[in-house]
Amino acid sequence: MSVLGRVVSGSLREGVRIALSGGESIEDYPVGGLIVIRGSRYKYLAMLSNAGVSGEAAPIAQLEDLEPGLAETVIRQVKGEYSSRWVEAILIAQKSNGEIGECDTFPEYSSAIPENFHEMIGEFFDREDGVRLWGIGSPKTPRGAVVEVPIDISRLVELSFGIFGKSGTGKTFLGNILAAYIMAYDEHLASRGYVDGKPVRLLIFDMHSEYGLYLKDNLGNRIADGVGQLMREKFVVYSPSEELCRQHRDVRPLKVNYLAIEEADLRTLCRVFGVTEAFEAYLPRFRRIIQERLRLGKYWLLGLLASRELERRLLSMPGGREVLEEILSRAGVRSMEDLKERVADRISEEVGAAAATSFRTQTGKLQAMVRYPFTVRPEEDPIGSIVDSLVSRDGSSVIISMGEYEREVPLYMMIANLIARKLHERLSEVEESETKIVVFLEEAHKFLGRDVYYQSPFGVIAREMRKRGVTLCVIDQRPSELDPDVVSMLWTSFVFSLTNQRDVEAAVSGSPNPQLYARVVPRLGRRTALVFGDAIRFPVVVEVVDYARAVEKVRGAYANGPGVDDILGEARCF
Amino acid sequence: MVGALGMGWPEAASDPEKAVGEVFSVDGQNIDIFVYPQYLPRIRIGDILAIEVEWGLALAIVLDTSYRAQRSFRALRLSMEALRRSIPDIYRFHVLLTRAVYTSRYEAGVVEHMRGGTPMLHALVYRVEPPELVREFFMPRGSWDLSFLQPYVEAGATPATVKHLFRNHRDAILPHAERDRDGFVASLAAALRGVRRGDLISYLRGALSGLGWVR
Repeated sequence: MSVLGRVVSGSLREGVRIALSGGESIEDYPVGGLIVIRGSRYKYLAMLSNAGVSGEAAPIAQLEDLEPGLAETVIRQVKGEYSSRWVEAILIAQKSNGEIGECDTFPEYSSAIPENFHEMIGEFFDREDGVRLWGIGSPKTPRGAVVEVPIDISRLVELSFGIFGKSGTGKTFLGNILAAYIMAYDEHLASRGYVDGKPVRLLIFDMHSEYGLYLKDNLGNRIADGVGQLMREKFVVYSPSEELCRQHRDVRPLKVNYLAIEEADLRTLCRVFGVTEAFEAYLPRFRRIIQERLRLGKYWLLGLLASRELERRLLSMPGGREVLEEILSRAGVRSMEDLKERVADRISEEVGAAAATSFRTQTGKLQAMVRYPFTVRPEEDPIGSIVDSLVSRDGSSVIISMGEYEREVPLYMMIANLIARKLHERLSEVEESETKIVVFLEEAHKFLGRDVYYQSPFGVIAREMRKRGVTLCVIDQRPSELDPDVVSMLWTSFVFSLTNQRDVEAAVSGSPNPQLYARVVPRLGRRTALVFGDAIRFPVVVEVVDYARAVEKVRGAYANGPGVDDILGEARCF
Repeated sequence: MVGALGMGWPEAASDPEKAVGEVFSVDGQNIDIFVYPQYLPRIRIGDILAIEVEWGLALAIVLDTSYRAQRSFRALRLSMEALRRSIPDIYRFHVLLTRAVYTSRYEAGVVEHMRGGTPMLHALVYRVEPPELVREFFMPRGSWDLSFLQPYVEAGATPATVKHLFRNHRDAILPHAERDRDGFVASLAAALRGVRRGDLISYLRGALSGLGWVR
């Protein structure tokens, strides 16, 4: 049997260097591809991390004066004499006598890549079982993909995991696939009466409505149904967008109840709205003046946002007129404009002129909140309903699709923080949770960044709620902006292409050999991800499974189950 | 094998009158040939020589020539014209040697680029001239086999010598080389791969230059 290349040097720490055989083309060896090296005692699984050619320029220069076309013919024949083609690879695993483990030995000098190494790759991985093991994609190899590598969904949902990558690399497709697999796994648990584990609920913060409605291409064209449409029985979709609710009868309205917002909630939004640090510092005193001196109590936020526009909004919403009259009556003023002046005067008296100036100038920046969909009826509490659904054994998974508010980061953060806080409160009340909850969080650095990690409710969830069954799926294109504590608590990572060096280093920091894997990540193609961690046997670069095919697999696994046609809608191919 | 004009290898080396010389000495792959004086001007570097042996023909390629006195050399101080007039058989006192490299053989109707048995001293030597035989030497089984270059280079052929070899046989092989450049270059590179690495390109250039492929 012929040999494709042989080990010539290297070390466990720096990887193995392989000289390719004469007949091999360096162009067949992609970074991230898997190879198998046959040592004298072990078979080694390795991932290509670098490739190159070393050669001399002088001999080629001597051929320049040959007849046209002849130089290329000659170079083809003699290039092996003047150049060497090599690849470098990261040793991932070793196998001997049926035992497979992490690599702690190094292959002998001249160990070979056998011609049929493709057939050996599958020996290092589990096989998809359609229950807890689901195919995540095919590893790249020098001669084309040959085997699908599964991830263990039961392990994935046990601990937090991350999906990282630049915009347009495939994070959302993968998120939908993982969500479908997790729901399929939950369906399996349900079929056994949950004797093997608690119900798994997903809470998906869906900025661009690609989980709740449709996946889109880079031009915004619809190309496939999101997991919320494909598995309607498993999800309830909420949206702050009235238009979305009108278009889709199954989408429920999500209005933030402004009577439920606390000072800490508003504080997390201050920087997003761009208000000054002085205003943020004054905020507790502003709240106390509005709440206590002007006796607005639970209406304190409306007092802070008092404006002519707020008055108009209140007059146009159900229950708004009554609330407006109550506020004006309590404060002894005739309009919201008067209220604003009254608040400013009291601040000036009690805190000082500078504070009053801060109030007058900075509350204008918060006026966007007045335009958001909100409610002031105490009985209207969609956030509470969402949390009920997540923590109840009979509930559903939830997707928050932002609709046309997809660029309204403050609204997204406000909703997310309110749900997170309420979820934390609810789970803190019980001895043991009835469900396991996985929170998919897009743009995670806004909640788990260095600056906000210790103030954000998601920071509390990340730090304290794992034992109560809540884990995070952290989705982000700037992992370096996440607090290092967050990255270190991710047990499985899916890393698409990243180019910023700090992002690459952060994304691979949990891998077995960060320095070597950092070389791989910038060269990943679209829909190709480095996967490592607890839910996969060994680190691997895969071309992520086609979404339509993943859906078909989920459909196939439960084809004989009850009500499958209701559970799974029609998946559109993309 | 018989050439297009009816001239096969046996016929090309059958008439003693057409022999250009005879074997003077054999030292491994080097065969020194005593060239008959009248043929001296016709022998060129790179010529293919066929040497009578019992089992067929030993084939060799001319590497170099030498010319010296048989015994001691005595100065005469004569012009060439005076020399020819006063000593017309002067060649009897000289040794006209041509060194050829034994690379190949013709046996049982087949040319192969490996040596056979050693020729005897005084074995007659013929110059291979028919183009079809020259072509068969370069393409023994109808495809390029230039492996004779390896012993030729090992014996001392320089890139310039190789250039002479191909230049001398250009007319016989060029049409075929033009039709199958890849095959020709592949065989050439394979044959020369054993030479010192730094010289490979020089030898390749020599061969290609001999065919007129270098601008």
